[in-house]
Amino acid sequence: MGDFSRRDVMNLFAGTAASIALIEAGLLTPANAARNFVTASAGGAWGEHIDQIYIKDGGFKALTKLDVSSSYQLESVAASKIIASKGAPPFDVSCHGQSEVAVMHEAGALLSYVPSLVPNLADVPDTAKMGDHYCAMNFLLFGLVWNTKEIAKAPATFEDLLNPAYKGRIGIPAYGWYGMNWLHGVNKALGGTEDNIDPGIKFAAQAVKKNNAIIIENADHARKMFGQGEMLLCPFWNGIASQLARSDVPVKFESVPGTLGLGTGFVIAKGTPHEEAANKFVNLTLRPDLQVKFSSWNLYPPTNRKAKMPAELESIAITDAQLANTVQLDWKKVVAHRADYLKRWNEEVLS
Amino acid sequence: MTGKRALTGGNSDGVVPDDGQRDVALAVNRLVRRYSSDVAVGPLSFSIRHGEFFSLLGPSGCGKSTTLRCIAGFESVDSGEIVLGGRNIEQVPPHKRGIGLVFQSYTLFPHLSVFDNVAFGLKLQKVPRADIAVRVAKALELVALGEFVARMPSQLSGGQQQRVALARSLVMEPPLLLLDEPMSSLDLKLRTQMREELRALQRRLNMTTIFVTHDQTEALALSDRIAVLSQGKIEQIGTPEEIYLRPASRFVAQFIGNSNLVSGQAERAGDTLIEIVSESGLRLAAKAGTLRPGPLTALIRPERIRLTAGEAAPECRRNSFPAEIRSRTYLGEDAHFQLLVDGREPMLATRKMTDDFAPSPGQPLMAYVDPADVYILPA
Amino acid sequence: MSTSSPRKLPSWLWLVAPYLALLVVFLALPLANVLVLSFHRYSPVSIWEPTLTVENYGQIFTPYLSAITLRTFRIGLITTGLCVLLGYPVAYYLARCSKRAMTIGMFIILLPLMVSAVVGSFGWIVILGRSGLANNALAALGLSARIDILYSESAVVLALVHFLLPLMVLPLTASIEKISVRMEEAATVLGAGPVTMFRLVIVPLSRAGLISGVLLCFSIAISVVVISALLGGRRGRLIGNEIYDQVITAANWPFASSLAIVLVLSIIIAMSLALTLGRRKVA
Repeated sequence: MGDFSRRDVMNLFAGTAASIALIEAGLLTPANAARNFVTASAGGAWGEHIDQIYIKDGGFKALTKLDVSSSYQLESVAASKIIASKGAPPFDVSCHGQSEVAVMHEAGALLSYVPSLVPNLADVPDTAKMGDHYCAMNFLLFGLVWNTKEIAKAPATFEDLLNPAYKGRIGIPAYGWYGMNWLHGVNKALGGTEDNIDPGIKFAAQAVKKNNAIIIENADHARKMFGQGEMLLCPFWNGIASQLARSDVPVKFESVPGTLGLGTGFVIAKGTPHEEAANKFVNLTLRPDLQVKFSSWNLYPPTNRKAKMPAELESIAITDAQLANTVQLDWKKVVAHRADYLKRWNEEVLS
Repeated sequence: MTGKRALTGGNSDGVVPDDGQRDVALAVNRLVRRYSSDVAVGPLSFSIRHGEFFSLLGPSGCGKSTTLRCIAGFESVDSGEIVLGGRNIEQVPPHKRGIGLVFQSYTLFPHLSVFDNVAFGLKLQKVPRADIAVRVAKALELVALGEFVARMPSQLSGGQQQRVALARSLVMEPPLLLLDEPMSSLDLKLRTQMREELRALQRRLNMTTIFVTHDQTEALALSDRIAVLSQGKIEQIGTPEEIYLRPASRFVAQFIGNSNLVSGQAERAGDTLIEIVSESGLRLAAKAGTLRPGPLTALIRPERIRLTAGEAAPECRRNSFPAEIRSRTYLGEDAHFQLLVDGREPMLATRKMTDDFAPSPGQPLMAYVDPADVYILPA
Repeated sequence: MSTSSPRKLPSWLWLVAPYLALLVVFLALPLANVLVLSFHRYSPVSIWEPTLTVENYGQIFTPYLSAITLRTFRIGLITTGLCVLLGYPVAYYLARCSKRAMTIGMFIILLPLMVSAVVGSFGWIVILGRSGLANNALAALGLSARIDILYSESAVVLALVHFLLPLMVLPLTASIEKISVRMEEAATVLGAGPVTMFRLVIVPLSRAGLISGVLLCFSIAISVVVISALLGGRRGRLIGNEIYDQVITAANWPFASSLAIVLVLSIIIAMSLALTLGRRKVA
């Protein structure tokens, strides 16, 4: 090691530092080099099923001649990375719900789909789409899930959360999880708008302060609290409620006024070196047979009209009656208010 | 009190004259400490007079440190009793025994100054602050370290640290001071110097002291009495002279000083002498005393073998042997000669080398042993 | 080896260079980035705008955030204090027991570190829940008392102590091990009972381990996210949760950065304070 002079080492340090500085500045991005096709999604079972069904079963490699890597993180983190990369994204496609899509679109970080490469788009109703840059593969409802063993009658509105009989045994989603979405949902049901959040904030504050709501940090947390019978009532997903019921947890999903009709689907990041492959990937996520497979696992209904669920799973389909209670949000406004409302949530609901 | 009998009855060697209980500072009666079924210390019995400097001497593993730790209370006793100042202290926890202890390794509290180290025990006794200052200063004066009162232990030499440790014990005015090889981590010169200081100090304070050591020179130089231990048992208790000149066993003879041991059969050779015929055939005369003929072992200290160049003088023909030097070790003051005596018995002799007397290996000599210097070991 | 290079690098550089490089790339540069970001204006669309501002820091001094900051330091101090009280006896035992017992003991002590904070927190929910193990045990014993500390500061402190105790015990054990048993005995023969001996000898001489343990526990305790979110509910929110929300939900990276900088500065101040105090006493 004596063969290195002081100068060599200094050069090495300087070179490394310069490269890091350039990467930091976004001037020298690994993305510019030829790289694999990268998909981003939440990890765990969710990410594994996406890989298995849409990439392997869908034959993506044969279709595009590209190797695929998967990058797992919270969806909101992936969205932040795409925005912060300023046109040199670390992922080609990324899985999101509407609110993050709205943020990324606003930031000009998304590409429009190329319809000729995504023929399955034609078979998906417009309710699952946002503009020409997003199309969900599942319909998701975020309504009210309740314990059927300890509660006699199905709840009709979110206001059941304020029932003193359930004090300490109700939950509301943390703002950082789906709390922001739910806040807007319940707010609209109570007569508020995206620009007037007062009714929603007041309601959430009552739930927390008067009825000792547990702040649910993520889906796993909610699963555990329902599973242990600690929690009787909490705004939550239709699909997970079905999954829990399947594993003998006595819970049921209810679409109450203010329920959010959401989706989950892949967007294409602007700056991708693999635009054609990205479109083909989106097309796979909308292919009827693959959607049936994915829905058979996650129990959220598929978005493609031609995706026919097997008879025993037809019950997961969203009924017109359920749909009637859902609200649609103006995502642009939701996104614009997210920091202000977080502040109000923290100061008025939590403290 | 049955312990009174055991006090002097436990060991036939070196029995302490029972001149009244009042003079006994510490009595250890039939003390046993077991480690496993086959490793044990004791039963040990001895007692120490007020102001006595008593040494426990033996090779490592002989049980001397265990005995000390039992007295200090750090080891529990399986049976027997320890009586300090007329009071059985077996059930007294070590911090309430009030015994002083100085260790082999440096154990000054490194975060406290010399003053605070020496004052440590006094502060715990809630001695008034003014008294503490006086007593600490006096104790440090005793070990001639008065001017080091504000130093930290790390600023002292090893010898100074041990002297502070001594002062830390003395300041408590303990009824008994235990010294666990306190000088073994010092170098030779310092050790010799400190040995003398320690002896003078002990005499001056008339401090009852038990000194544990494996160094026979230290034990001989310092002690009023010595207990020699081997394999958990007391081999002999006695004054340094007794131990050296009249060892009670082969072990003591070999452990203390250098020794020539000659085993053989005794035959009567006149009124006052017997003759020992060693296994190699050497015929050695000794004072008969009360000895009867039979097998025995004789001890001849090397400095008692008189070496001369040339023929034996006629008046000392008995016990005069031709000897050949096999090797020689020059030690300055003395020289050690490995001899082959009478062509058959290997022996060690020590003698000053002078201008007249400087024999080399191979050179023939005469070796003479006075029959009075042949000590017969008790059977 | 020595045929070339007239000027030799100091040898310490070779020892620290790999880690130094790692620190620069993965800590110093990102932290510098956070610092820079904390002086930018937030934009709901592009996360930050290239406009310099100090308003992010101004936002910290609201009653809400002040309360959270106070709570964070309170929980950090209580947790650290409990870790010291519980950790010292354990560390002393481990340092003084046989090598084999120490190996087994260390393994047991380290177990909490082998479980992630998420799993550990869910475990505490199972124990502390209204129909959890603790309450079921009380009921089985026929007691009407109930433990109702889930979603409070107490639950957060409990889980933090469980999680951080190894980080206190480890350096303490290493320190106490170095104190000679003879030192303890020296204090004992001078009249110090076990408690006095511990206070006057073990504690001052294991100061280095104590400082390391306190720093580790305190800095981790005030920067946790998961434990406080899952067990503290709204009453146990800490600065970490605030930062998490600002990054993840609001994508308000500039404000989150300013909070992070305040947290890092607090830890640095605490460290310097502890190290200075530590050095002053040991001359």
